[in-house]
Amino acid sequence: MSDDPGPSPEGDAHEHFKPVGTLFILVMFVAALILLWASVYVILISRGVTV
Amino acid sequence: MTVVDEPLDQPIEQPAARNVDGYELTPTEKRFIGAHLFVAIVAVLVGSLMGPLQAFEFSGLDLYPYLEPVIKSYYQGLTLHGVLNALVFTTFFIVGFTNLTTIKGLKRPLAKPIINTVGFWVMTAGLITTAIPILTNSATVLYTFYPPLEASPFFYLGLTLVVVGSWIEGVGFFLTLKAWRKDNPGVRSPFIALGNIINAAMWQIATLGVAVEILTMLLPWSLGIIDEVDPELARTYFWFTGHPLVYFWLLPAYTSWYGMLPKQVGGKLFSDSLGRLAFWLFLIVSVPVGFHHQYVDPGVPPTWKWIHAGLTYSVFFPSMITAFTVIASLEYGARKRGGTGLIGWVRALPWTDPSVAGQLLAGILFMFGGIGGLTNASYNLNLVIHNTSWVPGHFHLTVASAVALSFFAITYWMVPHLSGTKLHSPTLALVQVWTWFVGMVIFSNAMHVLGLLGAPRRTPLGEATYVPEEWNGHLLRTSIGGAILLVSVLVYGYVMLRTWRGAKVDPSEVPEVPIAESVRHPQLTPVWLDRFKPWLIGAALLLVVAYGPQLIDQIWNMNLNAPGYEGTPWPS
Amino acid sequence: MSAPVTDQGAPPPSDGGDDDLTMGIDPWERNWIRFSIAMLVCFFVIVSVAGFAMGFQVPGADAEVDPTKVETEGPFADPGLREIEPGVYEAYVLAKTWSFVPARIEVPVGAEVTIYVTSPDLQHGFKITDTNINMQVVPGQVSKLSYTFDEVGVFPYLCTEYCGTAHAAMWGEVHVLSQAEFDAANSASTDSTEEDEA
Repeated sequence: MSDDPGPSPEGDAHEHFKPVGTLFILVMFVAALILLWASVYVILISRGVTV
Repeated sequence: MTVVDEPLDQPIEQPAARNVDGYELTPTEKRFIGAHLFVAIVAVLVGSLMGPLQAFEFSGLDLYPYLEPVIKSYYQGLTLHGVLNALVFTTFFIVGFTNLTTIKGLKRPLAKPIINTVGFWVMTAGLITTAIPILTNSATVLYTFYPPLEASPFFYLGLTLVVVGSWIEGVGFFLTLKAWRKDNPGVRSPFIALGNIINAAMWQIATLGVAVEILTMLLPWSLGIIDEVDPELARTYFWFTGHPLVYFWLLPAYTSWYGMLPKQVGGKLFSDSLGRLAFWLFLIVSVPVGFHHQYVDPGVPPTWKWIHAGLTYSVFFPSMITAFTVIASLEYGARKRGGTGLIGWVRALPWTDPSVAGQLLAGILFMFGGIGGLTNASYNLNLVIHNTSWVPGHFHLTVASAVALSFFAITYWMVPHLSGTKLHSPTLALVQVWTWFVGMVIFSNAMHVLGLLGAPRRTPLGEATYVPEEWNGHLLRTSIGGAILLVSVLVYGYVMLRTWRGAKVDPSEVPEVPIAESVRHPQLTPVWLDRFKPWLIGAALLLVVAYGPQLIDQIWNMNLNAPGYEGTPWPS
Repeated sequence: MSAPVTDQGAPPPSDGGDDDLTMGIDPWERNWIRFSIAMLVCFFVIVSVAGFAMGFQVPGADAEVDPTKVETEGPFADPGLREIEPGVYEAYVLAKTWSFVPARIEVPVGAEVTIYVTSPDLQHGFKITDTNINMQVVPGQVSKLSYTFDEVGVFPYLCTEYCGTAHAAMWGEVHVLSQAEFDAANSASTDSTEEDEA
């Protein structure tokens, strides 16, 4: 019964909706995050050790 | 405005209206919630007006002499700015909003309205008690009030009352949820009610730190019962509360983003389960992260700072969940409205609705706030930015944008809903949210850059004698950002006043409380995502492990030996 | 028990409910969650390596002092730079409302300097521009970091914590001199001191 491919409780819309645009925005977000974070990391490294 | 509403290819799915909105607020409830909003909005208007003064000072336009005898100095203005915006506006808005989401979410009145009424008046009494010493320049200690800077005892007493009042209202919310659960066994708690009530619970745990700081050290000290304080222990107490405070501000915005905004854009909550999981994770990991504000403090061993760095990274995780779930909920709505393309669907969102536009812009700024936050949390990276203007640059993207701009956007439906009016001039409201966005982008970017160059925070850089020439362009940009933000604040005040005092309209024209459905039926969300007990136990255990040893060590070795400064250290 | 009715009507037939550990989470979101965890772990490893293996370390619990006696007893009673072995220095800095003592520190290029800062009155900040020296200064505690000055130049140190009226005027400078300049300046000052004493 659980394998019955009948109407999904999640509704039709969800069946066909793939958040492709969401993923696109998040990929850009992660790229910005890594870039900006790394730029501060580079500043840290360039300013010398503190021990 | 360049953004336009695209025509709908297909009608928006209309949920059964009465079923969604099954409980009308009584006039008494509207007045009660409205009273919270009134205090909050007055506070943010006055507090925000102080901001541009600071930004103008940076490029040499010192307006403070014109403000005497009301404002004596940059620092008194800065104290007002921080206390009114970050403590008063946020707390009153959040508690008022939580009243609304509790009542509308659970579709029932408060279980014990008298408790919430008492809580509100205790908060208000606290606000007045705090405001007097600030306005009379006897508490120019900024909103962190680090000892041994010593304020009038009324300042500490007033803050205590504000917090205690919010606790009392919190109890009112817990009792209401309990009563609802008794009447609705087995039903998953409605999202908007649960989200804000989890926030109230987190707040009660988090504020224990500042309560202990004030009651055991600062209040007795300012009253002359003890002569000296332990400033490092005070910092540990303060940041026990100070970081979860930012999640106390943020979570109501998340409640709106998850549980209301999808409805406003014609979509649905993409994942009810993950939304709830995010809130529970915040309950657990919001508090044991405070040492990340003390990375460069003496008196705290690096190991504990490092452990809190790891925990601060964990508290970033529920925000990553939020990013996906909220954006997917928006995309779901946008595509229903006919949006297409990899990114083109964004234009199909109802940008002409200021309440939507404000929250979308808040979300965009928050992405950059999150990036800065992760940097701050990154242990030794803090050496680069600690106490530089990077930090206010950062939190103007988080509390002053993600949170404040979302709250402004929420008031665009909430104030008309409570006053039985229509929003006065949606166009002006759009101008307000966009000027806030643009002003904050300019201001905050300049502050971040200045911080990397080494400019200290909380400093009138216009009068500082060490400012190198290369800072000047960025200092000017903070002033330009501040000027744009000033316009935004004035427009906000005008729109709010006209909406509140506007003509009553037919109930059908008054905005409804937007409550989003979820894609997957909430009843399919596992029951462990609807239970307080396991999460509260988890929060307590983690707190004991992550804070216990170092906190006990600092209390055990407490040295009440710092007398502070003889006389008043700030300009009078 | 009758099926509970919610905002979204009666629930659909269960697709697992409590036993369904997938919670109906979108597979892409599932992968996003995995990625998020992996990314945060990577960042944590990177900063940990920089901190504990490469020497980019934060201050710790070094020493406690009595702020009421710090100006009259111990090393802060005579603040300034001391050479403890060739090329290795200690600098004791007193951050007072509203000045640093000393307000000028001269070191030869390449000097490894351990900086100790404390305050007898309010909290202050001590940040040397263009270096990683950045410390909160708290009465009762000694803030300590070590740094090697590899470049000749002037490095201002600023008070970065609000401390009242003249907070914006509270600063000093590290002058990193070439060895020759440093020796010349140092012998001159030593000579003059000797003359004064004589």
